[in-house]
Amino acid sequence: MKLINYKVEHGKLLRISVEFQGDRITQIRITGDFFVHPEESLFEIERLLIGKRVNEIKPVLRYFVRTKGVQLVGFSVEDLVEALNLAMVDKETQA
Amino acid sequence: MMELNGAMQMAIDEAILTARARHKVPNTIRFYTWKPSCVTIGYFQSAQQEVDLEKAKQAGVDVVRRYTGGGAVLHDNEVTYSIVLTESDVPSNIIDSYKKLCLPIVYALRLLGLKAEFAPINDILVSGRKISGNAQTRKQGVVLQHGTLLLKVDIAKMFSLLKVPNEKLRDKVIERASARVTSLEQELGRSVAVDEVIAALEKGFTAVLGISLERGKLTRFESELAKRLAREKYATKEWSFMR
Repeated sequence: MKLINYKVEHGKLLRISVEFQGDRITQIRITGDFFVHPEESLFEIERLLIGKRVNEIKPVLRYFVRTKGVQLVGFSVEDLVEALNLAMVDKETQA
Repeated sequence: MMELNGAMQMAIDEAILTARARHKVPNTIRFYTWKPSCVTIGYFQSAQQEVDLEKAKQAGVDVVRRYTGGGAVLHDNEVTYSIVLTESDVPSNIIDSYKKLCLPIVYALRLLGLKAEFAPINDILVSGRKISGNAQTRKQGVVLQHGTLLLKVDIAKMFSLLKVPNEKLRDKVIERASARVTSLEQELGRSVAVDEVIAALEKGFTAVLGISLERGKLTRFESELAKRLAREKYATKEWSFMR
C-alpha cells in the first residue's frame, strides 16, 4: 500500500494508506491526529471509498457527511479528496 | 489525584463516561498523573506509525490508544484532567465546545501567573507556545474531554519515543517542536507542584463554568468497569494495534 502524508493547512495530518487498481480504490486506511464525530463514521467512510474512482468520491462523501451529521475536525472532505488525488498522481509518476 | 498506569487512566475516563450516560453519577472532573510514563495515541492513529515501540519498551514507557482522537502525547511531567458532562452542557459545534472546556484551563493558567490563550482546534498556548493539548469524544449523549497541562517538558525524551512523519526532517521537526512547546516550569522559572496546578484547575473550572465541585471517589460501578476496561480493552494488543 502507498502511504501519503497530507498536512491540512491550519488543520491536522492525514496519513492515508491506499491501493489502487487502475483509478479505483481497492484498499484504504486513514490514520492521523484528526477528530471525527461520531468516530465510527471514519470506518464507514473507508468502506464507502472501496471500489470508487477518486474523481467520483467528493459528492459521495459530502452526501454521507451531511446526511449522517458527521463532524470532521482538522480536515474536510475536500482535503481528503485532494490527498487521494496526490496519491493517484504519485502512483502515475511511479508507474 | 490518582497516579496509575495509562491503561487504567483511559479505562477510568471511559467508565465515568458510561456511568454518566446511565445517570449513575453527576458531571465529573478528575485530575491525574501517570505511572509509569505513557505515550497515548489518538483513536485514529497507528501505534507503529507514531511510536518507536522498541524504545518505549526499553524506557519502560507504556503505549495506550485513547478513546479520543488527536495526536500522540508523551505523558511524563504533567497534570491531566478529564471532564465528563452531558452533551446539552456544551455547544454542539465541536470547536466551540473545545473553547468552552478549555477556557477554565486558560483561567487556571492566569491564576498561576501566566497569560494563556485558547488556540483552535484543541490547544492552549502561553507566549504563543503550546502548554496544553486536549481531546474530546461524545458517546451516548455524554462528552468526555481530557487534556494535559505540562509541568516540565523534555523534548529529547519526547522525540526519542515519537516518530516523525518524515525521518529525513527529524532534526527540523525537533527544532520546531522545541520552539513551539513550553511548560509551567519554563514559563514561571520555578518548579511547580502537582497540587498547586490541581488547585488552580479546580478554581478555573468552578469560576468559568459557574459550577460547584464536590469531592468524591469512583463509585463501585465505575471502579469495577474501569478495571474490566483496562484488562479487556486498553491493555490489549487488539486495541493498541487496531489501526
